[in-house]
Amino acid sequence: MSASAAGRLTRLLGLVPYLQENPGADLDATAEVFGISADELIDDLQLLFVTGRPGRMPDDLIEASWEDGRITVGNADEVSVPVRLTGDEATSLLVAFDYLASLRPEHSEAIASLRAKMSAAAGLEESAPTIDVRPPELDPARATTIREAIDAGAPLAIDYYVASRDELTSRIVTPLALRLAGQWYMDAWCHTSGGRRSFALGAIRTLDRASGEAADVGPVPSGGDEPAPAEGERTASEHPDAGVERVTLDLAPAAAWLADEIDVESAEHDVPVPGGVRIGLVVFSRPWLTRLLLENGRHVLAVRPAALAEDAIAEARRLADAVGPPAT
Amino acid sequence: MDDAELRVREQTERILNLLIALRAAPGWIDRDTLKSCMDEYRGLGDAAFDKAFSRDKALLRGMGIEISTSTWNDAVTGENGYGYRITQDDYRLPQIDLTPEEAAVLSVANRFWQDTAVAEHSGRALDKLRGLGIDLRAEEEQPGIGPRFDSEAFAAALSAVNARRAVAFDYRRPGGTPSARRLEPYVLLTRGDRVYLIGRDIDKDDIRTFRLSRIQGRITRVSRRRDGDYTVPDDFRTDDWFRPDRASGPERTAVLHISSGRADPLRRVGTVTGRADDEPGDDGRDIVEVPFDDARALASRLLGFGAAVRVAGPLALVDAHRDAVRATLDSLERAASSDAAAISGGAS
Repeated sequence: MSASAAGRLTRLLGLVPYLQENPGADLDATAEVFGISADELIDDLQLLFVTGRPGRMPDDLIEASWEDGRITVGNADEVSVPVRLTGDEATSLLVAFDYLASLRPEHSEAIASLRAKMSAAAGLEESAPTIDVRPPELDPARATTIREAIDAGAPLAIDYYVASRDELTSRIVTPLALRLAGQWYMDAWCHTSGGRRSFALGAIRTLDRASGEAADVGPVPSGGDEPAPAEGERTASEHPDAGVERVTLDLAPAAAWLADEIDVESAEHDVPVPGGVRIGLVVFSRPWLTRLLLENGRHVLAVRPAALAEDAIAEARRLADAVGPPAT
Repeated sequence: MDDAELRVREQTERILNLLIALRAAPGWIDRDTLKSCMDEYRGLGDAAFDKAFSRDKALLRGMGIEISTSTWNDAVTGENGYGYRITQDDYRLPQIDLTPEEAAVLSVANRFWQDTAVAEHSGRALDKLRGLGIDLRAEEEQPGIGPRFDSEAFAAALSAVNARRAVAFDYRRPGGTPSARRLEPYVLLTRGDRVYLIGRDIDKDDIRTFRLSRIQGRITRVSRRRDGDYTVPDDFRTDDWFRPDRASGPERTAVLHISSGRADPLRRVGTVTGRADDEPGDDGRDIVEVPFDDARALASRLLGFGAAVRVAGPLALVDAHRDAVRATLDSLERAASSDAAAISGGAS
């Protein structure tokens, strides 16, 4: 059921003209188009035939019948044309178009045309735009190479920077999908590591067709549609929960912005000092945590458990020895 | 059906009857006629009718249907008369012809918002467009993407910019405490996976940018303000005002000695100019020159690469790096000490 009268009425005002354009429409098929159950559709029709012009004499009421699963609606001239779009309705579609355009370049013409038609229908062309959408950018040449490889099941040779280990790696992968989840990822079978992996496109340094035939690099096991672990990345949503460590960091105000930038499990503001933040993190990679602590260590007030700071402290000592004592 | 569903059903029926009455009238329908022909309004006094009618009118307006009101002085009675109507322009969706591909894409686009607060808007848009007689299927394939931002705040911000509605919210700048802000929003932006709201900060009387994820709690309307009661200046250009990063200062060149195969992000923004064999026992480092403007900011970033990066110059960066290293070591040792929880304000 629709949660609000406005939502339900909007559906009814779409349903009537839809049924006038499609006389004798099939009940189940119509329910499917509108995304409701057959029972909900029947209740909509029952509601329609008790409404009508003032007076509510039989001649005034909307006619609705659904005998043998075929719907007919009549005597509904007043509501027989569809209702115009609101600004919110039209702009919500425009935002979705903008994201979809970057994912489905093969539909870019249809999306541009839809965009123009929806803007015109909602009268949005006359005023300054209220939304300005720029999805994460995707290099077109690279996207084409990856999509062709997906279609052909062909392997690619990539150089991939694993930030958590500060290491540039060379791999042979067979890409399976391009995915936008905050940033662009290539889901792939990694022949080098023998497993499904996700690669952030921003960390792929070089990308070329691998020489040789697909068969040379071995088969790509099928099955398993769940997103693969992001290679060398720490993303809480994409790792199995087994065997993970957790760390709590208290950050001074100068590093409180970190809570906005990294995937935190919890964030408690104004703790332990005003403007500071206490964040809870899942640690999928110790080297990742070590790099985080080194970069932001000056503003870290507490690390629990303390043992998780050992590597960072050891590296900071090595650095301190290398740079020597402060200049006087 | 439970009580709430029954109430929604009754309300839907009532408003539909009102809509049909207004649409059936050839011109203006006056208040008394409207009252007498609607069971729901009959018997209400003027004040009670006005209240009920303005509530229903607001509901229809929220759906995109505008009721016009006219007043006139009745020559016979000498009293004010009130009339209402809905013009075709204030009701009808213009004809839109969609190709089968466009219809399919539209259905996929709708699923972009599924299970979010914005789905109410896109879902209603689709219900209306289905009225063109087109099969825009609700169960279309998944688009493979979805919004990665807080859709509640996005929906509230979207409605505010579209309605030109002055809004109030609590805003937390990193490292600060939340402060109450009042804004006349001009435009809603997404940049990558971030969302920003730009507009005139009413209290500061200046155009400001707010990152949506830093708004705490709900976005509410400012009391005693009406939708559309301000205008966006004609000369407002988003790019003139949207500055998420601080303007950069004069650029200098850092000279770094980087271990083989390490610190690829620095190599990507810099240039390898040679090899440094400056220390015995070191298996050699690349000399990489990297442009920078803020020595302290670069020094922090270099720390993340640990001992793989050494700073050879300029002197300001060498000093900043050394200071940062010492401060980091001191701070981390303190943070890891057993009574760290009791320490507060220990950062430098």
